Amino acid sequence: METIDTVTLSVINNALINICREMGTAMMRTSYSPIFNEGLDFSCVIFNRRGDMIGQAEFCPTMLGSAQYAVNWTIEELGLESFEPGDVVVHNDPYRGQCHMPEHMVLKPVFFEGQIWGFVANIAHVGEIGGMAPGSFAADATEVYQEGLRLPPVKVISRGEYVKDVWKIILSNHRTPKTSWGDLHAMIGSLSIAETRLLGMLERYGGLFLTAASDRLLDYSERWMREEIREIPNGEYHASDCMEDDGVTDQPVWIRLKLVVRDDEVIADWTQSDPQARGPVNATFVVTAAASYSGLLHLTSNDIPRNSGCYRPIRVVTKPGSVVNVRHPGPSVGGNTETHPHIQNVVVAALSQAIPERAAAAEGASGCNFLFAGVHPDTGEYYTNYHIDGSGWGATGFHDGNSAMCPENGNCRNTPVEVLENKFPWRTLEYRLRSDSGGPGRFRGGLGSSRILRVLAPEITVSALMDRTKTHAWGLFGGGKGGRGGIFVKKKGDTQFRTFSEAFGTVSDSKFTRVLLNEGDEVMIHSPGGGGYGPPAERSPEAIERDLRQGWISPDGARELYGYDP
Amino acid sequence: MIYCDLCGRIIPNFWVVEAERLVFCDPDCEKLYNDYWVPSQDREA
Repeated sequence: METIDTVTLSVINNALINICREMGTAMMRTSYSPIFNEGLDFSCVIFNRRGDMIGQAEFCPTMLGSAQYAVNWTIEELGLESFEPGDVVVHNDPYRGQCHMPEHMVLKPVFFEGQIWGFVANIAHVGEIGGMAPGSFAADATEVYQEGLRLPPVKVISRGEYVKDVWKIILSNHRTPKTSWGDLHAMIGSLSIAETRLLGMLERYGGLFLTAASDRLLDYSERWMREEIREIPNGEYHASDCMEDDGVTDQPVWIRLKLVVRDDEVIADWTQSDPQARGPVNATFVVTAAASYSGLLHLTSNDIPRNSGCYRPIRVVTKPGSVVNVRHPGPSVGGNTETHPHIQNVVVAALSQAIPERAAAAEGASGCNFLFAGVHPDTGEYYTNYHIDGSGWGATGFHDGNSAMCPENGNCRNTPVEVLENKFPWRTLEYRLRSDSGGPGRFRGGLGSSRILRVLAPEITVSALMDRTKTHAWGLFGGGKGGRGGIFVKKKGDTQFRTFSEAFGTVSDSKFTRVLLNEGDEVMIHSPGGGGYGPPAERSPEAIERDLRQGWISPDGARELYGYDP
Repeated sequence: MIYCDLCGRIIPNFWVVEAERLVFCDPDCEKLYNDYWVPSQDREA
């Protein structure tokens, strides 16, 4: 085999990363929906012809960890021989390797010298795909068929030509087809850019050399991850967490992990987790796998090349029909946004027993998913939107938790108030960090946020899917728990906010669909805070004073949580 | 839908080992089944 020096290998690795970044920039600049052009809820990846991921960038960990399953499934189901130059396949089936129904993957083969060299793909959360709730986030769904239009791997473009019949089926089932049209084309456009750049690399290096180099990168990444795992003491580590309810019943659903570190591999055994829930907090197998990978990646070197190689030493064991591996036809839309960060937090909690100096306390672990739809009074057009709010992250042994950031599974951005108000009939009355919501500790948990929105249209239909409104993000090693989140409503003329259960009789305070609000009604979203790390008594007076000046803790909080008299 | 008897994944080609018939994603899953799952179940029993 031709020798490949490490400099060339590094150049190739960075070139693959940069192709993915350029795909992301194109996606951001050309997509229609705020969840893409502001939230960046998508991931761009490159695969070899065997289905190994060889390139990715700083996108959504849940998509990145699961992408190889979706791509592998597509290749295996369709067969390599079925792909032709100019084809684009779309796929969103959670029972064929996808995270949840809104996540659509578009996949394009890259041909070089007459044969498939690899694939480029973009996975993105399409904001409206039909189903029982506008915004396709049905928090009280009991089966996958209520969650929207489910697509097996099918060609939407064949040899460069639209497959119009498939487009008709897709867009006839989406409530906002014009937006879906634009977003899907932004995704497909990013594939064309990646194809052009990858062909440039193939022209420069040759197909055989680039294959050998990417294989070397996969093996290098695997070796590095194995070395990192060797530094973790062998043993069995246990941890658990629960989803506070499933949107259909008010009972908690438990996630339980036995994590086995065995020399240079990790086995994440989830088989003691609860049976799958009736409501949509179930994770698909690939979500659980992605969360397991992500937990390990958080606690190992940032410099390990992110590709399929670094996942090889991490084995995932689940039981079909459980909350961590939903069995058909169970619902799973919340498993990707809410259950994933809980699963990942459990991995970190288990490993905190082995490598406490690297671990973090629990995060708010909720995307605070808020969906709304209606007819815009200014345009007369029907709209839907998928909105997320950040929560507090857990503190570590060396810094405070990040405040009001998308959970670690999403790595998305918030939508600016100006964009939200410009596109949709809401007035934002408040958007701030919540004092005292970060768990106290030597290092403080990140703060949750508070957002109050007033309805400006005659009516808006709202849905929500949140968690950690009854439970808390835990602290570590004496650190305190983070503040709970919540979503509340104040009807026009009322003086106080109430839960949606109190106001509308929903089963769950935090998971409901299709509640009709009228002009002047207000919604208040509190995102949860992160847990603290270490005893609060060990927090430095300088840090407490800074928190007081910033309003991140209140004078009462300083006294009660830290024993500090301001 | 055919599920792997070790990891639980739905298999899109599968590896079968045979009154007992076990189905795996690939030989790697069979290996982990034999050297992790079976001993761990024996210990718990």
